[in-house]
Amino acid sequence: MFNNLIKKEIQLNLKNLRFQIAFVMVIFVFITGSVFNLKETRQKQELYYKYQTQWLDGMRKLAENNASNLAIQSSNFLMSPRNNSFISDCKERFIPNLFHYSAFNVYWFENRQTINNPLLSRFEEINWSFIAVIVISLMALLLTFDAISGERESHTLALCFANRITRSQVLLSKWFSVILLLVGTMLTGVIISLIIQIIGKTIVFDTAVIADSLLFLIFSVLLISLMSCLGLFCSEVGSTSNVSLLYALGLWLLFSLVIPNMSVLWADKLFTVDHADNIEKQKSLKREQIDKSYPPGKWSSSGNPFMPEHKIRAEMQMDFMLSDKQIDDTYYQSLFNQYENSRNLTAVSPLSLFDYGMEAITGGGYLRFQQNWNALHGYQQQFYDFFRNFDAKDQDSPHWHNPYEGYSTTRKPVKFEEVPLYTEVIPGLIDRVAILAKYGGLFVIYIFFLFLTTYIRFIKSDVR
Amino acid sequence: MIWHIAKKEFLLNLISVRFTVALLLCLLLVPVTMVVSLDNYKNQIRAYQVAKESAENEQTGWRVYSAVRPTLVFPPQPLSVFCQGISRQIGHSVKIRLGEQPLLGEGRKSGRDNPLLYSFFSIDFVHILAILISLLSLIFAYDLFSGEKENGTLRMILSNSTSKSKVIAGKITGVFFTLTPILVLCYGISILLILFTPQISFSASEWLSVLVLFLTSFLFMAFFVGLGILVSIKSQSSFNGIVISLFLWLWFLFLWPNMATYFAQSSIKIGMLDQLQQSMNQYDEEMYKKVEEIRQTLPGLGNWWNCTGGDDGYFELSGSPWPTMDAERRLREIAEPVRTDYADKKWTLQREYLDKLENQEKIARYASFLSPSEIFCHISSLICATGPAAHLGLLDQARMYRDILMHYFIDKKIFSSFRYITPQPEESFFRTQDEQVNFVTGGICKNQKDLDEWMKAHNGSWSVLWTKDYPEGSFSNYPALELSELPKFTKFKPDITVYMRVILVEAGVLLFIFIFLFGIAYNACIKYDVR
Repeated sequence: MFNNLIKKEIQLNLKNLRFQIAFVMVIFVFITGSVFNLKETRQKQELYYKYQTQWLDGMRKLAENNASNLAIQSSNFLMSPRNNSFISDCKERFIPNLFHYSAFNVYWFENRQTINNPLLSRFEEINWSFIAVIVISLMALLLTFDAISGERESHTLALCFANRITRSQVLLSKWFSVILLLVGTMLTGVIISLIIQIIGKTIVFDTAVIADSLLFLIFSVLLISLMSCLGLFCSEVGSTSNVSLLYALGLWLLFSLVIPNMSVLWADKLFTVDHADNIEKQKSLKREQIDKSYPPGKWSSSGNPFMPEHKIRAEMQMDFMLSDKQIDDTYYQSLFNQYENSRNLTAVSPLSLFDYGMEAITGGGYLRFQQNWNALHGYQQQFYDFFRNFDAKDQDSPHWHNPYEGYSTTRKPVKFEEVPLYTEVIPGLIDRVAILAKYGGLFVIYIFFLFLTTYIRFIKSDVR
Repeated sequence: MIWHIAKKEFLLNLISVRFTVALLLCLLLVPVTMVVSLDNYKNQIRAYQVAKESAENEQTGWRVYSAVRPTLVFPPQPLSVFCQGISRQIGHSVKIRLGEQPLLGEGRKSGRDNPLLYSFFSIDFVHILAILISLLSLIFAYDLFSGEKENGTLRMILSNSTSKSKVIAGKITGVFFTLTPILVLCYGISILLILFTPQISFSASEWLSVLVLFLTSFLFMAFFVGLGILVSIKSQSSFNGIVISLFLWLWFLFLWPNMATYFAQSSIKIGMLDQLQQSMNQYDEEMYKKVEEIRQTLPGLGNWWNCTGGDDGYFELSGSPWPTMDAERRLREIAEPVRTDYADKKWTLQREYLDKLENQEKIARYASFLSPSEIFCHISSLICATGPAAHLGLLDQARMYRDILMHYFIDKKIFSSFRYITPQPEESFFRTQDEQVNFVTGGICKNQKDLDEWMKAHNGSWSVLWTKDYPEGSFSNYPALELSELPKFTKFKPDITVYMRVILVEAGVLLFIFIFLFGIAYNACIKYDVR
């Protein structure tokens, strides 16, 4: 009986205009999004390759000139474009992707885009995640908003219960039928998108792509389940289908617009951080104190590396750097905490939660940023050790390490091939699975409580 | 009769659940959005004040004309609380350099100190209004005809001596009567919140802009009312009507605008700003080579006592002997015009890059005009002076100011004056290097030759010899430049009257589309089968 109910619901929805329009719309958006993504990915890769080539050439020239200049020069490491950005961009257009570092310190991070036009208004890339969050989530509500209230209005619900069907069977059949239809729609779109990407040669159909696509579909099932359950809840609560629709649309606007839009406000009011100019003042004050503690002549310089003032200068500059680093590290940690705490608050919205889950699936976004920021610190120590060993071998160097100037360390060139280079870190499987489990668990909890509430109301409601 | 029909529609809507939910949505969405926008604005004001103070403090430290490179800090537009445009993704300050034209705004993009917060979703009043008003217009209009046909009441109305044209006019008027208070409420809430925020105050012209924004919102609302009515007449049932309306809403508000912009970005190649910078650096290297060739021809260079330098030709010297001072002065006299010539060459590359950015933006804008919400948002960004046109207009002003400043330097022969490179009065220069060495070392070394030998014997260190107090050699002993005659930049506010023509044309397009839709709906209504 239950299977017959599901079949009946599926058949009804398939013949329904709203599903037909929804299906066509979803497939159209998948196709256009994939085609645009194809072009954009090629552009990004081309530009990134040019940027990397220039960067490596610049580093090579420095190395061939003077190892100290290579060590003290603030280099910029730019994270590469991801091949699976067609699944989700994870807001990487806005998250910092460029790190400034030298052999002595990892200084700062910022956002640098290969193809961003600052004159364009902010927009969302048409990827799988966008389709799921904007289109499919709304479809789920539109397919279920009148599942109960509509049948109650047309009195077919009472007729239904005149047969030997339990209320839970009716509710579950409506829910499952919508999930199956929308998952089928998503799957069709995903397959078409993958075909387009493979023909366009931006991806290779390997286990990584299959795994990412499967995980995306599984996570989408959770989102579809939650949104369709929400639609059923509105349908149960609303006295008529018009009212149910308004409730459903109101909740959708709440989750897609209101809650995410408040994230910055919460960040400001609940998780305040010090202003950047105050941090600069603190650093400046500390530097003044350090400067005063060193004897006169510390800023003298000459061509002779062994000039005694160079030793004082090197020690002072090192103190400057360590003092700045201490203040900066504390400040950066407060920025990370502010961001993470604000994100945790917006996880109340299932649409935001879905976006965060995409980071774990694709290995992008804030997760990628954090892991590379931490890994770069490890690399910096490795780079410094390399430079220190190289400098130690030079008899013409007094070995007074100065993080900003090359007065008192080796002036010999170094073979660029011997210099350790940073390799971008891809977030590990364990980390990603842990995050997915966390967000997936939250989804399951939301679904459970929402379905339970809907179920209890439905069981107790008067179908006449 | 039209009035009666309109009144009936209005009263029916007023007591409906739709109206209550519509009010609740407004009362939730609008204040939340405005509070966030006002908070953003306060942060921008703070960032602006910090940047302005820094720019003013920098000016008080200018002792030489080679340091005179003003930083123009543009204040945030008060109307950005309604429409943020591109104001949060572009810098709000511009450094005037002789060696380079300003290209785009520099500095911090928004008032946020945490760059990670840029990734958070952000929507302004105009966008939330577009979403809300379009949705409510469709919700109130989708069953104007199909709903009454299903109920059987349309037949009853038309069985009286009421023409179909009066019925349609009355119904449309009724919907406008219903939606106008909601629109007024949205603006009322936002204006109230603005009035209660002390950090923001509008001038008379800004209040007038708010009125123009309100009228544009009305036109936008009219479009979606027209669309809803057309859907209501054309669809077989009110259920189909709402389904089609919602899909159209999703398409116009969420899908098409993103697709159009994504299309423009993925189709038009621009290249990275870093690559433009790389090409400009090649011109800089060429310029430095030329300057070096000039330097080789000038005797007397070297022997700097106290010197510092920096970006864009900044060079400050004090305490050096006259031959050094004069050689540096003559170098700048020849080299600075070379710098400005290379700025013009670099501008060709910059202009090309800017043209690409503008073309891409234009294509995105024209493509997205198939969505009336984008026309509305674009008009709003013009009215609020937060769009690309306003920003580029300010940068044009900044470039004109750079030209004025350059001509001031040329007309006053500043490049060839000592004051370009040193705050020290000419009469206090040492006549020769030997005279300086003798004075500073208290006679221990009589001349430069003695000093060189001493340094050779002491690993280059000679600071122990510096026994005589030498205040002329220290920058901090000199006052800042007197800048009362320096041309000042005054055009910090974009002039929106420049864009009035575009605003009127685009508003006209919205009005034309509404009239067109209304025409089709009217025609369809006349032929409508009420059975």
